[in-house]
Amino acid sequence: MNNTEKLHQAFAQGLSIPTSAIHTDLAYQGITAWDSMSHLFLIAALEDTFQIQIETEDILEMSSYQRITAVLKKYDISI
Amino acid sequence: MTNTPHSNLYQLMSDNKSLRYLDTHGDSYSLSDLATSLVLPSVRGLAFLYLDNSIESVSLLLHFFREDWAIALLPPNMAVPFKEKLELRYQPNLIYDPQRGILKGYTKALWHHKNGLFYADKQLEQQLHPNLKLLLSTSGTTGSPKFVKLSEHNIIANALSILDYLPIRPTDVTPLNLPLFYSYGLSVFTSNSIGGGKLVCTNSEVMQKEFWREMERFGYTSLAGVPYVYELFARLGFLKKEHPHLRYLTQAGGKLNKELLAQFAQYAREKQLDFFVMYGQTEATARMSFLPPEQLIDKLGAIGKPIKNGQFTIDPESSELHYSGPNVFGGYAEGPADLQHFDAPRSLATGDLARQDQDGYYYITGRLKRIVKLFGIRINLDEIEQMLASQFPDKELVCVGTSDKYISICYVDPNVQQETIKELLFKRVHILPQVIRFQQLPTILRTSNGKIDYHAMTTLISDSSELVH
Repeated sequence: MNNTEKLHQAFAQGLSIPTSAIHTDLAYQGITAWDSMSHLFLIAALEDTFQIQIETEDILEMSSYQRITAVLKKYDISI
Repeated sequence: MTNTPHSNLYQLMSDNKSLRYLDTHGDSYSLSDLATSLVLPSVRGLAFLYLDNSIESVSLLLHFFREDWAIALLPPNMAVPFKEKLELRYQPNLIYDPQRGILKGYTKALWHHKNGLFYADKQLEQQLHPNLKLLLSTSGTTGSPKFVKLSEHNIIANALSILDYLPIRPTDVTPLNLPLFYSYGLSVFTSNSIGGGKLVCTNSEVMQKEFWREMERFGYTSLAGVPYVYELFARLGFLKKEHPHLRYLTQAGGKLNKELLAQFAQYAREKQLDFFVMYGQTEATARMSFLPPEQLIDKLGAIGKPIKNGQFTIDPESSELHYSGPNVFGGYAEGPADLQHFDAPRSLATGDLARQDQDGYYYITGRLKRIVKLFGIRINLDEIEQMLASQFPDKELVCVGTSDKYISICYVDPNVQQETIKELLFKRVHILPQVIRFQQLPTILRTSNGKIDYHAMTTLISDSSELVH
């Protein structure tokens, strides 16, 4: 599985949405499934999938698909 | 403008000369700036307000505090079919919902130069009890037609009792960081409007950078949160940082886990903050008791003592906690006919089981009804179970809540469609799939008379989940 597939899997798992609903324009509060409650599940899914520990300040930064890919770069994960 | 003998919440707010409402740009408004005139179709009617925490919403709410109308405060993100169903049932004379462009049977009007106001084409003469002021739901965005009926007297009495123990001051800067349609969020609004200083009207949530930027920029002096918010605070490094302007924190809406509470208590002591653990219900307008911050560590886990003018009693047989006071509601409404009545029960049966220690502090020990509180919202397990039974009549699905973190669905038949069940619960009652656990059992435990033995089931599930961890 490449990193994009992994990312989509984390999205699907964290937000409980089908992979078909995942696109690069996804943003926090942009869909009902992505709210403050599910955000922590998404962070946990990203940590699990990529075997990383996400820093506190990055949690707030990861507010859209695009921003998540940007933050993941810091952890040496390129999408 | 109309004045009835009991309508003086607006007057109490106008008496607060320090009161200012700020928008996120920092623009400041007085009460009279915001409660500008709005043409209403009658002296008294019913309004449905889907309110966010923007200055426009606050402005409208203040306006209705000045008028003799009854208002229902509702979450703007409720699904449209739920909104329509509710409106069909109650036939409100006016609706405020900036999220919808058109409403059948209603004529659009502008509010603050934006769409959002709708006047009913047919203005029904609503049969509203004179005491009825406010309708609040206790079930979040599920669209349940059941409302808690509250009077203006309820709102004022509760706000004044809160002002009696919270260190609310005219120099305060208080964010509206909980929704206004939620009783706790509304109580922050009313008590600070009467006794506080600046209220920052913002839709930023703690999960957004904007919230923390605003906190620094405006210098918030207090924050309010349900247990989940404090879990977020902890995950976001709140306890590792300095918050120089902060004077006190409040927590209500369920029990915060003891470990986290101890961490916050420790932090509060080091930073000389007051941390208030509080207890309440929408049926009591919001607040019933609080734990004085200086007792927090000694009485960790307690809900404290009743607020001013409130009394607790514990039923000697059932151990159920009862509350009486001027903030106890006037009953539930399930339809428009119920709006004619307003009858306060002699005491409010909280559904919680409690004990009192030798120093007079109260502790919640369990619940009488089968309810779990997820993210501050009450979920009745019997209702969930009935819903599942009607959708999946050939399967026996038993809902058990072992903590306020998960709902366990127990079943015997291996052909249970877990994904379908999760999807249904998310769509119908907005329960996140992540908090649903499935547990296959060799048999559903029953009491000698054949009823499901929830007590034994709960013990069984708790034991088996301990084995997993």
